[in-house]
Amino acid sequence: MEKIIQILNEMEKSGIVQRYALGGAVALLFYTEPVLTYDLDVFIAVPPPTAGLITLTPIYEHLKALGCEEQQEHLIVAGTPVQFIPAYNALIEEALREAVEKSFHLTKVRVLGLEYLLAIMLQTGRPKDQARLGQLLYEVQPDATLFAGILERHGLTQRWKAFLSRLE
Amino acid sequence: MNQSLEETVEAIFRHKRERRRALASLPIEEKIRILVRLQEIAGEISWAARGIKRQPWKME
Repeated sequence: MEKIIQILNEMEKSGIVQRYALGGAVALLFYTEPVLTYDLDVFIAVPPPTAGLITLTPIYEHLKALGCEEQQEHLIVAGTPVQFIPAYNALIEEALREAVEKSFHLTKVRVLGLEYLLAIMLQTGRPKDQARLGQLLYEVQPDATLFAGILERHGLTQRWKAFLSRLE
Repeated sequence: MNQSLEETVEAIFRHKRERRRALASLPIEEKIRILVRLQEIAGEISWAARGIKRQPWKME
């Protein structure tokens, strides 16, 4: 895990990615009890392309040169399946901008904030996200003001109310 | 054993909540170790039940 973080930090330093932050279940591990997951989601902002579409090719080329193998939608980095996800909407962009710095052993790592992780799960809305979100409400105490602001800015307030009403 | 069934169940759920909180407060490095152990257990079950092999993460 630490090796992956070091590689991510180096990729950011060298400009292959503009900014990264861990997301998904591994990011939640920083705030909650351990739960089973197999892949590591890394949200990234990539340099704007000179022409055409955003591409992950430079990331893949860099990591393959380091000996990482491609496996379906993942790259196997230091024995761990890693999925790079470009910031694909305004919520993810903001979450990436506001991501927080934490430590893993002696290595600094950037992680999406708890309130943003909850908002992303709400927005994504897959059954597994909904189930986990319901469970998390009993485990974590997000900053209520920050969370309400995120929901408001990204048009999720009504969806949150509907989610809460289903829990009752 | 004078506890009512309701009290017994409540105590079980209270202990579960306390354990969750204790696990949540562990250092991230320890949580990753637990995660890898979970992957090993889940991998063994998945292999035995469905013949599907999933590799746990390699710990450095």
